[in-house]
Amino acid sequence: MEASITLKSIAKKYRGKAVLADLSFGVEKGSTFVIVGENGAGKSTLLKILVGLIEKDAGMAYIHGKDITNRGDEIRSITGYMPQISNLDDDLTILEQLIIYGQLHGLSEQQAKDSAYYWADVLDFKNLLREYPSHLSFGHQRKICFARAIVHNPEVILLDEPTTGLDPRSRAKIWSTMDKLLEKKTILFTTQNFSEAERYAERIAILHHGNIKMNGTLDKLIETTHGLARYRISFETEPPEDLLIELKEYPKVIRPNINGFELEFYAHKRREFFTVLRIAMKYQMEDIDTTLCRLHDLFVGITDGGLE
Amino acid sequence: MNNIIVILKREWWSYRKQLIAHLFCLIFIPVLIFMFIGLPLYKVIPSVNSLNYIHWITPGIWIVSTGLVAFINGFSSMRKLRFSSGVLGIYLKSPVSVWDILIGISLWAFVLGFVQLIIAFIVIGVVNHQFYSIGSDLLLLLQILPLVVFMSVLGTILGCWVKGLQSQTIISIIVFLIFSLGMGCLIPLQFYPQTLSDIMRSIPFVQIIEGSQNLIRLENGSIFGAVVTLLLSAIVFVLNGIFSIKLFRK
Repeated sequence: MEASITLKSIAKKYRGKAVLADLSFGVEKGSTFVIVGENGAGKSTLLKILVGLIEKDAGMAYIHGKDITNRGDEIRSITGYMPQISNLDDDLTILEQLIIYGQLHGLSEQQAKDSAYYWADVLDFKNLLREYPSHLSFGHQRKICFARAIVHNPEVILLDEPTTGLDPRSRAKIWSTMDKLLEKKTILFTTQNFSEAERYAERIAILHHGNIKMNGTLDKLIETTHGLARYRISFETEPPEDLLIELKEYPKVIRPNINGFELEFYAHKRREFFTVLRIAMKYQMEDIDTTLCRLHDLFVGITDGGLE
Repeated sequence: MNNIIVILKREWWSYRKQLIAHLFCLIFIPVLIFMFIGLPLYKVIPSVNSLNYIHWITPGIWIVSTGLVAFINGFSSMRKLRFSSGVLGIYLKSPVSVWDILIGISLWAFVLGFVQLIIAFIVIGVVNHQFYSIGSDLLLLLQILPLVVFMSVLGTILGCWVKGLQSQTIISIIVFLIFSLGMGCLIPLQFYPQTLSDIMRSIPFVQIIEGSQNLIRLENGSIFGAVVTLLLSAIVFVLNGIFSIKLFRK
């Protein structure tokens, strides 16, 4: 597969603090790639570097084979970017700003207008086209930012937490749009919503402290856990701290933790689970839940440590 | 070029929302200067270099109103674009260069300054019963326009760096005071101490002002002042552009 976005050893510092450090990865043409990470992990910085809003300190980055350092204008003409914070133009109506944005990307006024109407129809905000952004809810503003990112039919779409703050219906609308209408586009998005990342991205990267800690398809990432499973036991009353102390004597019972009436831990084999169960029988158990590790668990393992 | 046209279109779409209020300002700025500065001073200064003061002040009113409109619009558009509206972010993530943005905003300020100049020609002509031939008007235009260019560029540059509306207001008042009262637009330079007026006369903008005052007396204008002002505008514009590229794309 041909690479659409390639990053090699990208580094960026803010006031002496490294935000991105030696970051390298690639995104295949026509694929959907997600970056998950904590607040301040460097997700937004990375997208801003790709779109040319800020400059990298070191490394190379290419979009469709074009170096972002010296071919920024060409790259921005084929790229659509949705920032994490809505930055709509308060002086123009929604229709006007979609037209202006389309024209800045080379569309004629009529083409931009047609495209604005088309996306307003698809994303259900046709009735808002004559409104000003300050009159709109946060959710509507996000939807319009999304429409603005795609109004010029870009080949590469960069979305910074596109569905944060949206109601479930609007969220579903944006994902179905991406699924159906933009399937041939290269989409790179960031999110803190793990279920969205698992469901919509073909490849997932976990960004931590400015570097990619894991990168691959969900199945590949899960494989790296070698069958690690998460167990939850609910009790009728809050279990005593002694239970935790006792469990810590078993090294194969990973990250035991009591949260309210619930005991949570990880283990590779069922045998460990049965050991815990035997100990927990001393208390009034209410429910048991077992799940194989998912992206959330991998992320917690990387950010908090302990699942290595 | 296409990007600059789109930027101009964006400014126009934003401006036309309050077109009546803006037109009202464009008409009344020269009229108010005439009424509240020109007429009272006429009582004190009946003539300047054997020319009736009320006629002598006419190019000064054109220049002050035009320069001020160009300056304030350049300043305001650029400051809003960079600091308060989020429009800069929109431009920067599209294939628009920082030069396109600076040229677009300066050009917009210049266009408004030009419109103000035409309106001031007509309005002051009406209230002062003083009209010139098309040839004289064209010469006056050529004499004054370099100053409009400079004021547009100056406003745009300050808008790149000055964040607050309050600071913008204070700077605009200072510019108005210096421009209107300190450069021989509304008060003849011979009323200032000799040393000060000699220094002022060496400034190219003042030469433009004196040049246009000469033109209405059917004397020669100041080509030197016009050319130097244009050159200065270009130099300041390029320097600001070089710094702005680093500033906008951090």
